[in-house]
Amino acid sequence: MISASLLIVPTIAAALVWIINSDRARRFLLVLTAAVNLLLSGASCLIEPGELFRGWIAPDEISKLFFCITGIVFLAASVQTVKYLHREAEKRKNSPKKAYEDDEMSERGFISCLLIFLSTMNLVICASHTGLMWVAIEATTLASAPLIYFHKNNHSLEATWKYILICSVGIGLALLGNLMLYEAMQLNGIGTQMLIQDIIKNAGALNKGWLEASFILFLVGYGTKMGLAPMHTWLPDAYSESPSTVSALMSGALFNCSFLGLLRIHQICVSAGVGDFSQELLKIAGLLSMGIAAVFIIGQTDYKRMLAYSSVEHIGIMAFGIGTGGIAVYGSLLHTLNHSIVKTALFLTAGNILAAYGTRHISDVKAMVKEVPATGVLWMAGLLAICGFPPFGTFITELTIAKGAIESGNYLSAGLYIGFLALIFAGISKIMISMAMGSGCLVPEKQKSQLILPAAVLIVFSVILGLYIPDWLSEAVWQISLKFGAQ
Amino acid sequence: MNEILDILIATLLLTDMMLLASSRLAFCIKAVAFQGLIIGLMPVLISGGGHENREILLIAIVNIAMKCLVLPFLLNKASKMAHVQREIEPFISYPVSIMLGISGIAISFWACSGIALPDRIISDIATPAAISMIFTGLLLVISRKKALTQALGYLVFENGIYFFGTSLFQEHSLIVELGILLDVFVLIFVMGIAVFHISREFDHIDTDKMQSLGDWEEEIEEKEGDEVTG
Repeated sequence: MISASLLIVPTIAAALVWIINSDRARRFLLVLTAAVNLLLSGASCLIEPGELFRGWIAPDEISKLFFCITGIVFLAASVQTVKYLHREAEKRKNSPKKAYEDDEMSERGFISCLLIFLSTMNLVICASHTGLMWVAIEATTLASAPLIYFHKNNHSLEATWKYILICSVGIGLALLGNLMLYEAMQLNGIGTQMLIQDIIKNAGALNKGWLEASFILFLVGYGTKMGLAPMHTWLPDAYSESPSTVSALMSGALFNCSFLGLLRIHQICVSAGVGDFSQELLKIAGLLSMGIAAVFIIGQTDYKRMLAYSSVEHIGIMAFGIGTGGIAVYGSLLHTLNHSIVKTALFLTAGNILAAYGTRHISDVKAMVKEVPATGVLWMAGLLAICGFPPFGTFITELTIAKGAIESGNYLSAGLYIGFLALIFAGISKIMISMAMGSGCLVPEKQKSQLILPAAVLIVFSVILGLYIPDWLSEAVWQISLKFGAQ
Repeated sequence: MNEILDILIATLLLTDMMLLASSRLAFCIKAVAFQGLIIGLMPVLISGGGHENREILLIAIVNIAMKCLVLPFLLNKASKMAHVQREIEPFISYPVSIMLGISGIAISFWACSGIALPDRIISDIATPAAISMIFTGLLLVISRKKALTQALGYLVFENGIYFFGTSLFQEHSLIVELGILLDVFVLIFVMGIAVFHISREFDHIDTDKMQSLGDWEEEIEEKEGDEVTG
């Protein structure tokens, strides 16, 4: 019941957007749907959400965690979107250039795409059929492409084209992985239905060679969508060119969905006894992503791109954690929650900075603490959190992963992991200080009014998670991590 | 029966080569549509008369309608709206493309000789042909400059994957098949719109001119300078 409404409510709202004629009502509908979605996500943890279509849609424990993350991120982003759309409308009214006739159209399309995007993400999370999951992940690409193109200039067009082409080719490879997984089942005569639970039950009988081949293709395919290096090339462009609320959604919610796709295949590998193979690949890909992110964060000139590379870093951390096994798997899964919260807050704040200073160049933004104090403080807090500083939740999870890496006895990878974290911390803190301190840049008075509530709430939430993790949460995450190779 | 299949598969390989060699977009779109026809017919030919025939027939009809009629129509429309007829100076020249395509075929045949393939495989050359088709599609995506040709390359790539599935004679469920087709349809639709916008924004659809996004400022400025002079 709940799983059905999680899919249907946003879809209906997306259709309603085309009927409602008032700007204000449409924006209200967006926030309302986001709130309902979060409530439903919360309810799914308490009441069994239920299966649909003969088990094709069957949310399990990890789905509930990811529903909640998506719900939180989407609500924060949609509140900020209202402010953003309002500002854009004002800008258009005041601009001397003749306004396009399709402006209202584009706002309708934007809100409607946001809602469809939410619905497809929910579908990814609760799909328990590998084919259906593939369809849903490709659908998220298609629903988010128009969002990136919202500004309708040549930069956003370039970013959109790269996003569509690279991600679609990547996801195409994941389809090939699906076929190979099917082959691995067929060769040894395990059913014809690709329900994940059924595959896991019979995992021992899977053909190992084909399964390994299919995991590689899934890693490349869904890895492209997540932004795992070296398939991350579309990511900085798409994150930096799209409206900040969209970047927040992509890195806070979409990112987890593709990660979940990969996790499910990893789960199959673990139960089939080729967990070592998939762990090794995840570990290497994770460290590579962290290394590449470190190189590009140091000396970065654009703060939104810096955040994008930080997302590449964090997907690396998560993949590394899953690959390390043991307690690091627990850390990794909890890190998805922590990272989503902090990164969403950061992208929303980055949108505020962009609105105040009108530039994405790090060197042109100065004295934020003096000019826009609230935004400045949030920005500093967020950047400290993303580097894994106490008292934020990310500190605990990054530390847990480090602990797992050291316990696993592979000191080289543990050393590299900690080394990259340190490098990235150095890179980000230099940027943070130069943007927050100093003097010079004056912000016009009328650009100072900003909506900081969503980001502030998220940062507070992250602090709470850093100081106190409720028992039920850690117990639930621990139960999930047992399925993904934690012992 | 098998001979007909083998001839059809050989035709697929030939259209791959034609796509790699041709610069005219209208021709390339027709070639991709032709590939879609063959690949759509394949499951029907293989199954002959089984109890699931109706479902296979339905998928085949939707598939052919999509890949032979709807998608070529969309692509043709996009090429008319963007005023492009041919691909000029791809990153990898036509003779080299063909050489790469032929080596792709050779490599896939060699690679498939070592894999344990199931007994119920439809034809000895089906799987290697599918893999070489995937390779051709990827080659088109990375070696061509026009956004439209890249979209065509993606379609060849997708056809290859679909054919790979057919070659192992697997029956996916109806919903998944339709879902995949719907995704491809929307993708080409979105790409078509993007192509139109690219042509309006840049006055051309050469994606290699899209270089304004990057990480190092010097690099970006240099490239922008290039664009002014070149």
